[in-house]
Amino acid sequence: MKDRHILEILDEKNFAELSNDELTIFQAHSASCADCRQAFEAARISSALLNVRARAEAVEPSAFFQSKVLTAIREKQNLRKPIAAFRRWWQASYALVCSMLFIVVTLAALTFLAPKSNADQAVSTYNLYSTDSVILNQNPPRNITTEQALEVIYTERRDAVKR
Amino acid sequence: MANDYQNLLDADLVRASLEGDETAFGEIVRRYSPRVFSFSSRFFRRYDLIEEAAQEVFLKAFTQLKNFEGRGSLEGWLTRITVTTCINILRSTKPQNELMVSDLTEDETAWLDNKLASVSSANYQNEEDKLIAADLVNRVLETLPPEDSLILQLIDGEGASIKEASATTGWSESKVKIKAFRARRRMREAVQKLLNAKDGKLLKTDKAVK
Repeated sequence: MKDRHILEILDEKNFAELSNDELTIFQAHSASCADCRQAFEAARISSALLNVRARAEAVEPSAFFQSKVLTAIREKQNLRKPIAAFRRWWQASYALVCSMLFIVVTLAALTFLAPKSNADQAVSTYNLYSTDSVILNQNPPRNITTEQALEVIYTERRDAVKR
Repeated sequence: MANDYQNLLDADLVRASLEGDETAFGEIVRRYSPRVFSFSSRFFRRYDLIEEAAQEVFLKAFTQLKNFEGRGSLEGWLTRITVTTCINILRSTKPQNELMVSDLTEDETAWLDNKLASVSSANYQNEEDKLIAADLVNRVLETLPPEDSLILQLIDGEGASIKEASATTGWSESKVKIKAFRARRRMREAVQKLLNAKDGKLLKTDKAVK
């Protein structure tokens, strides 16, 4: 019998289930082969140890175990409460929150991205031509319309009043 | 009140627990904690670790109770949770180093010698020997991967069939067979190393005496 074959049988089968024939063959072979003898002894001891382990006394739960588990469950549930409350609030009001967000975003877009109004244009014209120059006809602007001239004058007055 | 729950079937207890009845889940804990403890003790030696693992099992069971479909038994479902939980706990901890002969106590070395000398396993039946052997086997098993340790205890220790071990662990039968094959080899090699080291130590002592 080859050593490898013996080792494979030892690994394949529960030692306690080896037949008498198999045991006799192993022992006969082990008498002349030190390596197989050691493997055989180790397998025998392993099996004996595992039998001892199987017969070890059962570990019983303490009398307080049940209440310990229930307390731990309650603690876990309490930890989850704020998250659960937020989830409930979100489920109830996500439509409202989303619509509010949409309005804010739309207003921001209109403020920053929309084309400038006439007033803004007047302000920029005002920056080029002062009221004095318009009224006193000093350095008269060539392409300024009456509406723009009035806008410049009113804007400057408005600013003066604010100041 | 508690007696009423004791008479309920597992399925009724699960249903009541899902509806928020804490006492019903308490009854599940009471009914199956011995089984969970017994299984956890295959992985851990210290009582506090066994209890911690068992508590973790019931917490998981409580949160996953809605996934229990009632196809198998509640006991089997809890056992599989126990196996997974204990393996995960052991994997997350530092792996145990190889057991050296210098780690063995005098009693354990004597037990090995006695075991080597005796052909039948009936020679170590006194209580003290049993305790020494139980401690030794725990220390050897701790050096193996947790799955190997479990499968060895189930099949080679308790005599479970491949089918039974498969049902207990939730692993396929082929996986159980492969695990058992590898686990036996690992355990045999671990014991063989101890025996070789012990023999070497004895030889050295003999030479020194001479």
